Amino acid sequence: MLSFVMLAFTGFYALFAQQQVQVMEEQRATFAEAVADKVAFELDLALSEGPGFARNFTLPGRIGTVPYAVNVSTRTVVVRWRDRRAVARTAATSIDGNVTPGDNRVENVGGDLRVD
Amino acid sequence: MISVSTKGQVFSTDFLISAFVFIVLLNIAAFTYNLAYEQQSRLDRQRVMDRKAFNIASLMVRTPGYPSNWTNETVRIVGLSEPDHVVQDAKVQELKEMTPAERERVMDLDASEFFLNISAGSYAETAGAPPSDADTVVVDRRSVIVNATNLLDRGTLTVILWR
Repeated sequence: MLSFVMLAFTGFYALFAQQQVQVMEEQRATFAEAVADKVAFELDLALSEGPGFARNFTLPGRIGTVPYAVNVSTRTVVVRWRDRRAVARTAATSIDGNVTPGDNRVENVGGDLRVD
Repeated sequence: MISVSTKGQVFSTDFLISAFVFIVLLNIAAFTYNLAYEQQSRLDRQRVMDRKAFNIASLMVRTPGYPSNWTNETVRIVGLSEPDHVVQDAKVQELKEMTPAERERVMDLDASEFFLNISAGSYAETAGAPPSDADTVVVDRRSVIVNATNLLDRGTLTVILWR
């Protein structure tokens, strides 16, 4: 009886644990997508507001507990964590500087975007 | 003399009942967990759409777009206002000329449908498809001033994303 209960319990626990890992990974993906969208919005805002515009914005330090990196290339914002990535579109073709977790400042200098 | 006792038999009625109850309880737990997971996923999707609608509406009411004199063929960022919160009818007409595919590409709609409604006094314009048989609908409403031919009036710009 006891061994049957233990066996059933272990089976269900393994199933729950596997689902929990999947849930956390999906939450990280949603969070990373939010970060990518935020960066794309800040860049688009700076671009369309025109030269002279500057604005500070803050990104979360980590995605959940995982460090991440942001890369902006031709009209694309890519957030990478572990071996995964989230992508958002932007109108910016390139930026001078890097977007990093934490505090950032975006400036439109003569039509070009600079991020510190 | 050898005696056989029935004590300690594994398959007794008690065992079957308790095993049945145990499995039923585990199934209820699994069902509840899955329900909570699906609700959380739906909320997460709604938050993503909420944020997207907020970003689209912000760019529309705060900026002229990019390039600033964009047309439906040259647009890279859809902004409708110049100055801040003064919606220009000429740009609304350009937005209406855009195909759904162009809007999806420029606004990064991520498979959501887009609907825009601008009203101010006698002025009323829409673009995109209104919600129909939708699972999720998010609305972002802003107060604006509309500048059209013979009209400069307070009104409302509403961005709706749905899927």
